[in-house]
Amino acid sequence: MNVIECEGLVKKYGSLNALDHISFSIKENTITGLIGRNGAGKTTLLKILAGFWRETEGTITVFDRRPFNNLEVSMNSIFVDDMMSFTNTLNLKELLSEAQAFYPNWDAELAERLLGYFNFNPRLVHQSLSKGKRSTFNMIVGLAAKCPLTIFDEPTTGMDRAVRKDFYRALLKDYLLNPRTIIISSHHLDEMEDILEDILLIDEGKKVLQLPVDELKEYAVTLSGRTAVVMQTLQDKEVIYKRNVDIDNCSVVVRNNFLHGEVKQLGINVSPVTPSDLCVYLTKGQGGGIDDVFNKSKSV
Amino acid sequence: MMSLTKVSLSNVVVMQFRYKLKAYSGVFLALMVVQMIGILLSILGHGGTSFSNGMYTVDVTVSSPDLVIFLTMIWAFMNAILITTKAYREDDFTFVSNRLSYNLSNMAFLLTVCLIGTVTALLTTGIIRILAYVTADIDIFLTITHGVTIADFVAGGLATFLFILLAATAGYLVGMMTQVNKGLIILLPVIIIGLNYVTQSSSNPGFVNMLEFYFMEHSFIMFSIKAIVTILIGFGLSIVFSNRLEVR
Repeated sequence: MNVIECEGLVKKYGSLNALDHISFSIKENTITGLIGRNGAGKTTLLKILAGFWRETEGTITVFDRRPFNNLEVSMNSIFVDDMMSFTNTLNLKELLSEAQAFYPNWDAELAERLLGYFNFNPRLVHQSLSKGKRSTFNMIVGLAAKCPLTIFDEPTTGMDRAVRKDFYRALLKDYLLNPRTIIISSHHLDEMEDILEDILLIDEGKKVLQLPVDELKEYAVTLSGRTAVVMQTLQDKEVIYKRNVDIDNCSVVVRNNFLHGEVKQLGINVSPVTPSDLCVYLTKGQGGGIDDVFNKSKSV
Repeated sequence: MMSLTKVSLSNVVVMQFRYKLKAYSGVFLALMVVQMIGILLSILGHGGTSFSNGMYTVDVTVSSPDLVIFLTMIWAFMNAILITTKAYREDDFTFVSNRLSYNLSNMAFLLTVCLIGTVTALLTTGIIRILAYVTADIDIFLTITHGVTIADFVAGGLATFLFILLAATAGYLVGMMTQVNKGLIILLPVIIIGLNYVTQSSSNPGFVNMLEFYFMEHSFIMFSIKAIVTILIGFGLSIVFSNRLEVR
């Protein structure tokens, strides 16, 4: 069963299409990573899914309902980001018991234990927390709510590496105990590729690809070797990204849909591409690299 | 598989209302401060007249909670605007909410705090009298009790409540309109003053008429009908305006 169905979704801001005819679906009880560069439309997409923002065109259904202004979707989903707003008249412990009143599946014990584990003073108010602590508290709310659709938009903002690792582990453990549909947008794909099942990569409001992580790991390979030899083999291959090391040697990222034996015979080194790097290559504009910005002589 | 939870609008509204009573407790603090200022000002600057026949001079000092009620109306207006702001709205949409439940719980909240504001405003009558008695040099202390029935008292209380609720409705509508479109902050006064100017004539003094429509109504029943209809229209418009609002 698909929890989310999205068909030709468009979101316009003036003349800009933040989402540009994007279509995809997300199956029930999967963890999907929503990956994309800054400004790719990740947050816009997630906020439409959560029913906060209105779509301009196209259809979107969450649990077979249009999410905007839908109470049932709101009840069965939670949207966690670093901007979550909590009243400053209640302390952290009181906030958790308020959340319990709203969410029928709320796991009070889990919330309490996580609060203790991450060394929260339950008498503090949300506004007084540091950025990383705030994200951690929001994550606790998101996990304990146990909503059938749980959306994390950049949940690890401000968290240090240790807390991020704990978060991924907590998420996975809790997911195994209570399977549900989880979407996480993040820039730390390399850190969380182990917990993700699917990846939805978007760029400039369009879907680039949606694949299981295992397939994404096999999606492309890097060919590196002598430039002249590598260039020869490229003719029948789908080039994703070219990286010139120097005039003699180069490395090129290509679709992994050929037999490796023949290129290896030519002395070309074939190495795998991590999903994290691949996502960067797939969404890189044609404008070269950051070096070109500083390399004035080249641009003149 | 996790099963979907069925929801009823009324359940969510009740949950949000209960959350607001705790979360917006600052509203009650503001009420206390406003009414204390009202009491102090009532004692310091009470209106009065003086009669003299050459031999005796009679100073008549009138004390009433009118000023407190007026300040409570301003409090209701300001707080209604406050709870429509983004910060307060986002608190709601952190948990379960849609725009209708958000509006309905806000209205239930305003209704409740206005009722509390009315009761405390009316109760200040006693405090003002006692403080006036203690602070002023008074020989004869008169209170009107003759001919005031329970029905009159109830009608007075209800009218006070409706006035305060009218102020809250106005604030809520203004607040919601500005949330929907920031341009309305400028447009709204321009439209009101402009319309007032256009419709002004010798028989129609404009803005004054609008106030007279509510404040100079002598029949309690008529006033109640006018006020309740206005409140319903105001809240109804707020719901319509905010139903397409994008949140968070």
